[in-house]
Amino acid sequence: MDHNTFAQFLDQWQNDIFRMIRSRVNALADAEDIMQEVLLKLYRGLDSFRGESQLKTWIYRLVKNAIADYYRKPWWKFEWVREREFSDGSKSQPVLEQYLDEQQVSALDAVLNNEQGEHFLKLVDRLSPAEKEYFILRFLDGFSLLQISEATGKNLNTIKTHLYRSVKKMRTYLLEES
Amino acid sequence: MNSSLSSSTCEDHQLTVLIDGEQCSPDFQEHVSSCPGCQQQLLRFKQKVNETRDYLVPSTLQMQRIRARVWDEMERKADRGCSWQPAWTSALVLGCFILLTFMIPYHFPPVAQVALAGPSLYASADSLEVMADQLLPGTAASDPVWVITLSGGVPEADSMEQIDEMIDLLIPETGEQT
Repeated sequence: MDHNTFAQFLDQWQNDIFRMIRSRVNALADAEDIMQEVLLKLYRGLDSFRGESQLKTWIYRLVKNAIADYYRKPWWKFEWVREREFSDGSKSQPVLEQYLDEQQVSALDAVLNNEQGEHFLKLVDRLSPAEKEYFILRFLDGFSLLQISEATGKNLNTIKTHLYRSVKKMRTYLLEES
Repeated sequence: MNSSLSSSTCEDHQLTVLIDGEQCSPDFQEHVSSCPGCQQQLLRFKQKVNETRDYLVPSTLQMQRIRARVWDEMERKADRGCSWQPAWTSALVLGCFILLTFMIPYHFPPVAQVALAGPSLYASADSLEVMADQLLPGTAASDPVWVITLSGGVPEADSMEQIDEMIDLLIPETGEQT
């Protein structure tokens, strides 16, 4: 796959992919690192995608594996990834400074446009891990029930049960807030 | 009681519509479309979800940075002839050098050293006793080593008389007495 084709693919999918990562990873710096890994894997693997599953569920599995791999990585590799030098000669900022910078930017954005979104994510964090995963898949990633079933390998009844519980809890959290 | 039953039914309808989405049965859809309370609740929930989805979209700056990192990594991997990283290769070469220089000679002395040690050791021996002591340590001092050679190992007799005297001395003539 050449760069132009991949760039077109990114234009179409980058928001969905980043949303998948960002809703599951709290630190923005980590989300960017994982996004990079996922895009590299996609670049290498898109040609071999056989279409047995839907592209969206295939990307979801890639994202899940990349997140798991990222947090399994040994400490020395973390430092290497974060202190890499870019092609323009600039080096990435130290982790803490970068994180604080990003937090300032995202906090400003949140104040201006999207404070509610950040707050909603904090409520989602209060769900159990399974409930959180199904809730994010259904409502934030925009998967249908069948796509969730294909992506997770669980049957529809299990998925619906988790979703009912999670939506009920979220309604309660939102009522408490209001 | 009637109102609690109604709110319970409304909640179930809302949950079903939210979770099942388009696959929800028409009865539920009809109820929700005719109930202002359900419509308000659903609208509020969907609004929260949409705000969060928007919040999770990467900014243009973020995406440019991630793309730059991805292109940079792709070029770096394309430039790299093999998957061995230079640092690892250097470390491997250094490790082999240390092993060959310091470790192996202690366990496996070279053949040339043994060959040189042999002649020099025996050249220092100035007598057969010393040599015997080297070969059979502890026995050479007490037990004499007899070496018989053709040239001078056995004493020579000057004449037949001397030989006879020698024989007489060694074997007394017992036959004459009888």
